[in-house]
Amino acid sequence: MTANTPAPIDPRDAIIEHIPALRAFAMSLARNSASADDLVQDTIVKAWTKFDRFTPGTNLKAWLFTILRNTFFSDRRKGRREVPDPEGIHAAGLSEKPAHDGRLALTEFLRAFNQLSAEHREVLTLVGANGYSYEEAAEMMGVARGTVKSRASRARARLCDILGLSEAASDLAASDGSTLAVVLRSPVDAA
Amino acid sequence: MLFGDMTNDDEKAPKAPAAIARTGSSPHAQEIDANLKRAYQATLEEKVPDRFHTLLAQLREKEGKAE
Repeated sequence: MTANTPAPIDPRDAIIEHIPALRAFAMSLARNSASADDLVQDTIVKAWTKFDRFTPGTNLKAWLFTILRNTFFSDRRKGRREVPDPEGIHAAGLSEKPAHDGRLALTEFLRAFNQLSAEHREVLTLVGANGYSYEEAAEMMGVARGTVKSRASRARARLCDILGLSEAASDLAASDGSTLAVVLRSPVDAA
Repeated sequence: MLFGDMTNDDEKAPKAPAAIARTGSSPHAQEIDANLKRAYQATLEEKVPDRFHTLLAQLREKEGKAE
């Protein structure tokens, strides 16, 4: 390959840009980095070989996410990728950042998150972490919009339960908005 | 008349961002989502492991031979 000859643009070259997001999504499903990276690898191989099924101009990341979650849930039905509660391995792998402003420690949060069902982890990652709309998430998950909405709501409620966030305290926070303001104003990990 | 005032201002009030409107059902939803984003971001910022660069190179090479 010579550096000066521009290679024809292959739309598959864009796959590499989405690997960080695929790994983050895979981590939320598989809960440990070895399984997560195996899942990403399988996703890339499938995407590469089935790329003719991708509609150019549509969202490549969403298409890759769909392959990844289908692979995960299909393998799980076959008894593969069955990693029973890995006791916060994911959490342990992250360097602990101090919790400012009364925010939850990240490790504590992840430990609770990893106790959720895979379906709950999925919906929260798509809707909560990625900010996908219910419609977009519904398309990726292959379920109705209403299912995404109710599942997300139950998943958040379950997470609150595990974290011991009480309803009473939250009513107060909701009425004066101060908790929210603190969370939103905090330097989001001054990256 | 706190609530009355809010109602009067309703039309002038900026629309709640969709993300906040969508999380309305759980009181701690914003806090939950902020933490979800934080945890997610931590993985996003990791360097892509070499195995994926190698994998993509292998896929391309394999294809080159097949054609």
